[in-house]
Amino acid sequence: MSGWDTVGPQLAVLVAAGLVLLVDAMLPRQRQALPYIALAGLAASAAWTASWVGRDDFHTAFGGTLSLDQYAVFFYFVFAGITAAVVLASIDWVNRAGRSQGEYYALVLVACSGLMFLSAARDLITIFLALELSSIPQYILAGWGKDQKSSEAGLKYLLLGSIASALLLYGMALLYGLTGTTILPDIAQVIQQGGDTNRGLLVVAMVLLIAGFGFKMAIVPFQMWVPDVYQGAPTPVTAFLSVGSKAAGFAVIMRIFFEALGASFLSDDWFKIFAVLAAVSMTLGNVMAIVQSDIKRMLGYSSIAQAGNFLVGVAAIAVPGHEFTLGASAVLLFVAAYAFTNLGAFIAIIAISQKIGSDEIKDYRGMWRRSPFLALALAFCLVSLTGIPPTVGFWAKMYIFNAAIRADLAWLVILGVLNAAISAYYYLGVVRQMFLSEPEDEEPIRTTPPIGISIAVATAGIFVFGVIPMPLITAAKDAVQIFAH
Amino acid sequence: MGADQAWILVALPAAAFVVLALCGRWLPRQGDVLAVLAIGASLVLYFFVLHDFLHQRDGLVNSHEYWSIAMHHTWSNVGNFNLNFGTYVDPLSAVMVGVVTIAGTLITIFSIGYMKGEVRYWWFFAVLMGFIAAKLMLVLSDNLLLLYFAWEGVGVCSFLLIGFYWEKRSAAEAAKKAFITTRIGDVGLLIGIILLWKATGTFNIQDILTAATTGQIGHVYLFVSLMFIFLGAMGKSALFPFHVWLPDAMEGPTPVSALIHAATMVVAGVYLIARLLPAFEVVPASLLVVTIVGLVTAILTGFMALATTDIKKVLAYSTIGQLGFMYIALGCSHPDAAIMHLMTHAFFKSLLFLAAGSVIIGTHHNQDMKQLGGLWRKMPITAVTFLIGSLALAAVPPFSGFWSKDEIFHGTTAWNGGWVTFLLGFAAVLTALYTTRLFVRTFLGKPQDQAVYDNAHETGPVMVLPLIILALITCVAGFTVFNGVGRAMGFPGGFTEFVFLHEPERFVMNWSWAAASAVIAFGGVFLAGWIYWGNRITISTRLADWQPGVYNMLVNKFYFDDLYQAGIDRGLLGFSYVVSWFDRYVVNDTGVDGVADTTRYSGSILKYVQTGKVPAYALGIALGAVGLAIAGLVVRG
Repeated sequence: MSGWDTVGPQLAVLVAAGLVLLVDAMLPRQRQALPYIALAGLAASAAWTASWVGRDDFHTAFGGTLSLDQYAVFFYFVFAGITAAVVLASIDWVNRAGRSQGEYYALVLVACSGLMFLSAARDLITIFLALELSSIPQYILAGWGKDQKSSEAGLKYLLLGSIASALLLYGMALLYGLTGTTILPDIAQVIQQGGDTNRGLLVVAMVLLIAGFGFKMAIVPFQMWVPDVYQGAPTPVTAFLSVGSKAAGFAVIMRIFFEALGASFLSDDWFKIFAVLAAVSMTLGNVMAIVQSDIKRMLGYSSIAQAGNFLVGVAAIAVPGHEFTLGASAVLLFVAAYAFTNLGAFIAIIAISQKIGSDEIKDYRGMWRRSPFLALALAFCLVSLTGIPPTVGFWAKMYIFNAAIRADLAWLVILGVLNAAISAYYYLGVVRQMFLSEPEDEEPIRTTPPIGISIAVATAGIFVFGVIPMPLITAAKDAVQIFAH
Repeated sequence: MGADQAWILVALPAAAFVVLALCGRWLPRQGDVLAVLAIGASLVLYFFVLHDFLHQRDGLVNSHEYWSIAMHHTWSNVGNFNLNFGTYVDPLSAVMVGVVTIAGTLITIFSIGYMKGEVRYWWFFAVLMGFIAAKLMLVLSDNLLLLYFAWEGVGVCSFLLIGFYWEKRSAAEAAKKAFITTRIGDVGLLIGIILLWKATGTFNIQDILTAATTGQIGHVYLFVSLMFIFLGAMGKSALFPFHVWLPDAMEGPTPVSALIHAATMVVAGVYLIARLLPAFEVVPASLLVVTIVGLVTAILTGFMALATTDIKKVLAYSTIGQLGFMYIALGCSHPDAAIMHLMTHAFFKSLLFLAAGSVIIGTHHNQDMKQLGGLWRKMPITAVTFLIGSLALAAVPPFSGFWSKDEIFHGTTAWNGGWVTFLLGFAAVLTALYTTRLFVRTFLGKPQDQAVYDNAHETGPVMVLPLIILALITCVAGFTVFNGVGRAMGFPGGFTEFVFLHEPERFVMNWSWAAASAVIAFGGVFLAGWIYWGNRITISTRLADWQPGVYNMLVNKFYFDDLYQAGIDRGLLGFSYVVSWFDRYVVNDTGVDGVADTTRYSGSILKYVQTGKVPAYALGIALGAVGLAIAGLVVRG
């Protein structure tokens, strides 16, 4: 049975995907039930994951290609939560789109299973398969809308994603050629034995891996698709891309660099690369975000800047001679915080744009008159993205910067703090429009229960973990124990 | 209820803030009663805390020992990174909490009358409670991190208060200006806190001070981090060169938020420096910086106040000037003098702002001196209370401002050469000058605008009563410096025997000092009286004719506002527009939108691929990877 047990969470999600398709085809009158079947599948998946924690049963499986450790478990929970929120937020939109509802939910679920595999994989081939399993549904979803912008977004995402995959595959091939194995810990062993004779080629392989995953993580200079695709894709899908695939990118890149490329002479190289990428991503993302007038585009650029913040933590991990786990746990904390916050913001935007039919920031004027709940929730999410207490976003930034200071990356921290100040300008600019301007149209905006619930859960999470951060911090700390060599 | 439970003082207004912000609109009377109850209860409980504090202190064998009560709670820890939070009660914070709760209670009660019938009545009280809670947390916090949260909380609430009438464009602009200007300082503060934490591994203020005074932090390092922290204090206190935001902040609801900003918020910086003064003492250069910034601020704003005709803006400049005085005292290692001036200033400046508010209401929203004059016949009570406040501000004995400014004069002897004392005296003359000018041109002389004068009337009892209470306090507050008065109130002695840095100092009347500062005050008052009451205003017009450059410079506030605006416009925004232009036109539009326009109608997806964008992006990815690889290979060499 252990084989079934190993892939249980993914299986639960995939079974739900199949059920959704069946119900859609056989019982067209019961379409209202589709999202709830999907939610049930996700809940079952989370429960299965929880049972591992309860049994304290962590192991590797399938010849060492999957590692079911606390790190993977942390991300399983995160992905299940993200996908559930996306499903809830999609209900209205999918109902209005009318067609192919079953396929939509099924694709979201399949992508979710891919993300889960990605966080557990510790073998290059498995990683690549999991990446494609999660990416292909996302390409389709990005082009799901009926308008040309959406089609453009989908196609663009597919083409550029393929290029990124090609680069990634090339990097993996190089790594395999150099070491003769695809299992991450074995790669590390071979590299360690070989010493730094192949260092040049290893650096090239590393860079190709960074380019491939950098596309998913949306870091500079692999970010160009982000604004177009975020703006064009249906907003629930944008939310999924901005949170899910970014988190997965970081999950897998940390595992690869830790488990396969952790040799000290290599980490000396990659911490510098990551530090520079972090600096560039933060600064460029923030500066571009300032002048955006479309809120989805603005969040697109800001997500690039946020990815830069993640990278600060990744760089801090690798500085030789320092405690590994501090930076890693900071990144995990940031992933969870960012998931709550960005999802909350996107769902609020979904609710607003459904009513006013616009994503222009200037149309958010006086929003607090039209819907105090949405305005307050969105403002709270933006405050958290800025990193102002009492929100979970503050702790995330705090721990990232703390890790960087411990790793003697003070210059990066100063740059990060300055960037936080810049980001306050545009995040709080939206807040100002919502609260300090008169609405042009007084008509109130009503939220439907699924959207209301998902926003309430997200903002409650931001606030509760903003005041009592310890449970989340402990979870993140436990998850990275596997890296404590 | 004792000093250990001081956190309750913060919790009450914070709870009121949450309730009012969420559902104040639907409460009876929009919840103003709740606000008064919360801050009133804090005030009452403050006396319990104070009593308990003094009582525990009396238990000591040597009652002159520095006594404090600290409470700790663990907030979070990761690895060796611990966060504790707690309260710290010592004479310094005890006095600050007293000022905040007393002033806060009066403001809240006064607001009920003043804000009656205004839009968003409930929201005003909610923000007011948030402000008071943050301010109390700031002075009670035992660590820099919690202090920083509270510091930001105060900043956000003041942003909301200044921008309260956001329908008015000038108010929205002023709120933005205040927020951005103080944020620049806040970034400095955060950097300073992080630097100190990196050196000591703790946020606890007392631990940091111990480390600094025992030489565990290198002097240069300590100096740099203290300067960053001072940057935060400069922003919050609107010291030169951050002084631009406070006069504009007068756009808030008159005079309530003006008063908050003048008497309560801006002194957060004074408190912060006073709290960290032992560390500043380790590096004398940092004290010199504090003194010089204080002097420059005091003199510069004195001139600006002389060239302004808006009553509230004169008071705003005078506030900055008085803050300069406090910083001078701090620079001389005399927190006792600084905090005493902070206390007396809080009362007489509140009095002046409320009296100015009374003038504004009484003359139907007129606050320009050019149109006032002769009002004492119409508004006798306002005139008398305003006079008392002015005399205190001008430091005329025996009003409270005299005693505290006298203490500061005393302190300046710490610097050799007497130059600080001399410049301080000059600033004091300027203070007396503009204060007298303000009073004379508003209340004495001939009415400048007959219509305004005819319609003027005394304001109602709700407004007048707080004026009288504050005027009485202003008359007597300075006497707390005497040992006998302090003892009678239950303190171990006079003010400087309660708040002190190294050891308590008993107040001794030094007649020559007192005479000198009295001469300075009277001299300024008479000079201004001679010019303005004697209707020799032509002197300033003659100055304008003779030296238009100098005069314009004063009227235009030394052109600082324009300078900053230009810096922001051309610098930061310019940069982001360049980058955005690049994105829009070079990356996006070069052969993109032009082609796209013609192909849009065809509707074929394939044509979108050929807009040039995708290949351009793909090229970007490839170039990025190549660039990274080159960088990676170069780095290793």
